[in-house]
Amino acid sequence: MYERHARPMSFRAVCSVVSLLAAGGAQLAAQTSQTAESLEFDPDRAYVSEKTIFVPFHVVDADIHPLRAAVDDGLIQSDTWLLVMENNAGRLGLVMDQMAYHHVAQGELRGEPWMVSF
Amino acid sequence: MTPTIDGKVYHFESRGLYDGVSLLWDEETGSLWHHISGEALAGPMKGAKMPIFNLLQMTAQMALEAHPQLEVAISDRPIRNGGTRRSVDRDRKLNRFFKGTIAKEDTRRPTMEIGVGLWNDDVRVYYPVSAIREADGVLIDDLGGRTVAIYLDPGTGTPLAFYTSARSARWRDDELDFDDGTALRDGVLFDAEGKRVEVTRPLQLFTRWYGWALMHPDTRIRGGQ
Repeated sequence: MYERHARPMSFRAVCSVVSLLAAGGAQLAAQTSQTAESLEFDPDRAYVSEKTIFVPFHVVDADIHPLRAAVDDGLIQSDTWLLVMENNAGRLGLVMDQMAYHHVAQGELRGEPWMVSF
Repeated sequence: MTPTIDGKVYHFESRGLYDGVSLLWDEETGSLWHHISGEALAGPMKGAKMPIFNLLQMTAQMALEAHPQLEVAISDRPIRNGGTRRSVDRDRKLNRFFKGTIAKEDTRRPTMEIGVGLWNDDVRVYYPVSAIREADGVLIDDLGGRTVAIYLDPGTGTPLAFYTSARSARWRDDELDFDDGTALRDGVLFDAEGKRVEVTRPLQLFTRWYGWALMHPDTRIRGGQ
């Protein structure tokens, strides 16, 4: 999919783009807690697209349905596969087949931001 | 994951590949993040880490049994074939494009083997589905000092895990009976009096071996090295 839809480029090639986007980033980084042992990252093995490949799912209230009603109304089937996200605010289901397109979904659950990557 | 670092919410897209798995990109800084560990690998946020939570796979029916009040987010994308999952092909080969992002594979298990990885601050353990199946569909193990049950859901074959006080378990048809009096039916745990019990789950990831091993090179394996 990457080969067909994107023009992958090495991480080094997009460093200039990253730098532009990261104005003020040094200050941000300084405010951020560092993990004890960061993974060693080899930029020559990374493929990064300069453009959006997969449109993320930005979840708003209108996208959210009681699961029982979604099944009863035929929006999804009882054997539809879900990804069930759990965080401190509760749980939320996402349709696995849709996540295979979006890859990332993001929103708020009872005021708590969440993000799912699949 | 919680996409908040130092009180600021970041917004993500899947923008690439590294070690055979997705690379996330945040629109605020352009940093690149590991999509499972939640750690920023490169860019201004390098070293930052998002809190992670479980993401479990189950059918809508299973989800309704376990969490009757669950809500679901549905996007405007069509749901192909009703959203039923294709069977996982063990013999599938790793795409050469994916392979090009991997430095060195851990060959202790077959590249595309499927299983569930469990982890906490101290230990990481991979349980191949084949090993769980060979143990009659349920394993009781120690995960960093806490006892955990790993089982294959009888309806879907999906491996799932939760903490338990039991020392053994066995299947009776589709019910999993534990020696502490609890029983698992339709993905719901009941105590000896038949009351529902909320399970506590360790962090877990249903994944192929190569992705797990590259993220956790120090992983132990249950079911042979």
